[in-house]
Amino acid sequence: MSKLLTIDGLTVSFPAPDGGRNEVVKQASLSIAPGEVHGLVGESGSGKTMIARAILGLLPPGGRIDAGSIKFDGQELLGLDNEKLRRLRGARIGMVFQEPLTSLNPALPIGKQLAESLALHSDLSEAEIRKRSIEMLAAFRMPDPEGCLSRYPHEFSGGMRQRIMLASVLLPRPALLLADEPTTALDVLVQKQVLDLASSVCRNLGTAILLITHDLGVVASYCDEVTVMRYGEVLNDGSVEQILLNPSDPYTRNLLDSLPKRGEGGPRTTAIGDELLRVENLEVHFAKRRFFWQAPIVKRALAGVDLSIAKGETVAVVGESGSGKTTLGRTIAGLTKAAAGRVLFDGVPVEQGGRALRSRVQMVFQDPFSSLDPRWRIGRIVGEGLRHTDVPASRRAALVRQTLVDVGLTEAHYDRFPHELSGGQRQRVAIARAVVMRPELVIADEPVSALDVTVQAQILALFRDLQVKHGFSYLFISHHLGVVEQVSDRVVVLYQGRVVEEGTRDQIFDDPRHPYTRALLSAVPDIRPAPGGGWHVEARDLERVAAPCGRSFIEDGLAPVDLIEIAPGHRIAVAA
Amino acid sequence: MLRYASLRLLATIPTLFLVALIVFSLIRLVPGDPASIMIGDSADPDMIEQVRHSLGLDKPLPVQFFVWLGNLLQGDFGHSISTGEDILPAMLTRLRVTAGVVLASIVVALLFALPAGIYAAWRQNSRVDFAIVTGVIVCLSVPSFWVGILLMLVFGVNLHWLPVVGYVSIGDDFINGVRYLILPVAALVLVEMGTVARMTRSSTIEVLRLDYITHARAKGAPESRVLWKHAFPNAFAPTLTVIGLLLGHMLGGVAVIETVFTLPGLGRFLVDAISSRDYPVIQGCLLLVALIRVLVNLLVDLLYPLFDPRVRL
Repeated sequence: MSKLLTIDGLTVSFPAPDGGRNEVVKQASLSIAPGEVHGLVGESGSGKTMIARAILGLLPPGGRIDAGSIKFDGQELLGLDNEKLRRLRGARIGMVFQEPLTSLNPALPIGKQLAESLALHSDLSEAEIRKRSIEMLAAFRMPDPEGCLSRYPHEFSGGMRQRIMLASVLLPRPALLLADEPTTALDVLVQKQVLDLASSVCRNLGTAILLITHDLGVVASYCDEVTVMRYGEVLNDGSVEQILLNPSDPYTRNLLDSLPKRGEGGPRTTAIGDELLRVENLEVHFAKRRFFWQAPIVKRALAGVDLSIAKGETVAVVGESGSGKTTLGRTIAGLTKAAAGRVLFDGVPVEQGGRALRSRVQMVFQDPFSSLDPRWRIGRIVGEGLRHTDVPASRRAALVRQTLVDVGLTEAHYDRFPHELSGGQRQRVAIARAVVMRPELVIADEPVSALDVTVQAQILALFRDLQVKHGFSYLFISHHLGVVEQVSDRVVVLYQGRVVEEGTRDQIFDDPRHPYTRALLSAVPDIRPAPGGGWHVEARDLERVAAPCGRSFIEDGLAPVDLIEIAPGHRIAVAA
Repeated sequence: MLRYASLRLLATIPTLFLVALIVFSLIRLVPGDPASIMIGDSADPDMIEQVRHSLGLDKPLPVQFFVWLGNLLQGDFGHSISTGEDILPAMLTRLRVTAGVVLASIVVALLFALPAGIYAAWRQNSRVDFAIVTGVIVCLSVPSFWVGILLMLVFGVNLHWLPVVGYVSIGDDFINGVRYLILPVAALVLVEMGTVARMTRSSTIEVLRLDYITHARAKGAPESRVLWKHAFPNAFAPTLTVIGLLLGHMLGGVAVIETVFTLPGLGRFLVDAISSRDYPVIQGCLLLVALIRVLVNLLVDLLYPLFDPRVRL
């Protein structure tokens, strides 16, 4: 079959600080057949995005194509004049981006943005464009597609915006869709919905997809062919079956080995002790008012949440964005005030604990780029908290250096600035800043979400080692079920501010009961080692099960619930 | 939106009260009093006392304040101590002069500064960008009175193209009125252009980095469309804030320019009143300036949703 897109020996470079040029894509080749779904995987900095940008001739400022050829439908794209390239863009080749929040223009109504590419590339009448826009939105199962046209992007959730994006890009029926991490910013349930819709619409239109992602599970479930990249070079390409599930190349094997899995890191050696943290009937509200004399509008972030963490235990809180998991962590750390209920740390309410308590509870945040002060050196960042402890000033520097070594950095990092470090190294600094205080509880809010899988595996191993060494408890907040399955002893599932299910790791992952938990677990395609060697895709399709004891489940998180215990420690929410 | 606007207007009442209180007390802290300035240094104390009594300046300060405030609430700003003019009409006549100069200069400045800022952002780090940025820095660093004097020297004194001093109302004689306005407006335009172009450039650079701009290009939109349809509306919102601040600031009186070109504007009215310790005029002018600022800011806030639909009023 003739290929739709053939990239041959493509080299892309950017100016380097030393005056030379940095090759971010080196001699890369790949080809896509019409209608094929082609995965392009690699860690950050592997050059995968630059390939997509190069196809459209939209490299960021400074970027330059030094060598190679890009043939689309038999036509060489490199060296094509701007006007001809512009006619291809949008019409024959469409592109969607990762961040649904910034990829639609906030100042223009949806209808205008949808119509734009058709108006630019066809002679269709306004009425015809409108009709097609509505049909395409309907194909992406947007509620009230006609009404959508006059609304603005901010009125839609992230998942809906990504559906609108896809609808707008697919409207001119392009032959090729470049999708750059289209679902990375979305919750798992939404990701599945968006990918299912996109692949079915593309199949109907005969559109080929170049799916750029770091998520191997997504590639394995949706792609026919895959290309693996590393440091700008194409390592190998071929069918998903051959490259991803039976890899011969050590880097791909390493990527697959890094995927989180249960029981990773050996048997736990810390004993689980007495109760350290107890959260009772916690309510947190956020109030917002426009004028000081007006009554505030109250939004309930958490309602009736109970939780306990024992010494040395790792409890994971899972839920989608907006479920209240971050609020829970912040309230436990005393950073957000509770409207009702109690948080007891070692038997003492946190609001009475004062500064002494602050040093016993430490936090690690998600984004290693914004959680470190860019103007401070690493040593000062890590050592700052020690000023409020009894550690004498003379010993602080030594302790900080030792902690840097403990988290896998070197003493030489002491005098560096955050911008000199990679994402993984920064997250190690954030962890060092927490453990240097010798806390009893570490609250880690999505600590590995911003990291590549291999780095993620290292950080998770580090968490485990530190816990064994220092014996603290973890409250591990994450939306990533694979990671939770690897690290947690117990799991709490939050949905719209309420606990809908909690239990031990095995209870939750092997015997989930609540429809929400079951939907979450069905939405993630996992790649797991196959019994006979190699890997296989494990997609679960969990049907709903009936609620026990003749009760019914609650779908709306705001309604009152009862938590009933169906096995020791395994509790689920049912209608009150 | 109407509700929002009326609530905001309601919220200005405490602001204006505080302004009134501060203005009233501050001028009385300044040494010198209107009676002695009116009569001159040699006057005998009895006469000064008599004048003070007739102006009501011998009453206790709180009484003076509330008398003034009470009259204000009836729309009576009082009379000028030095000229006896009714203050409200006097201020409004002068505000018309100031507003004419300022609004004309803002419009002209926007016509040049917006395209310049956007172009500079679009061709960031190019030669043209460098030239525009240099021009902006020059505009920002040169004081307006100096520009004014220079313009007067070149176009008035040397070339005799335009009148140098004075003012003719546009209403009375349009052509001549415009001729008198050209130089002061030009002096202000230069200063405003720097601020607006700079803000437009940096906010456009921010916006051009965003995905939806790349997305617009990936749709095959031509560059002019990308800039004007996609980048400009989004980049204009922060610029609008700056224009609002600038406008509020300038309408409050471009005292220096008005003095240089001897325009009978609000700023000069205020400066003259300060030197003659004309308490009621100073108080009235400052209160009017505060009100103008509040209203201009409100206007800017009400315009926001046009450029950023995420803002709901």
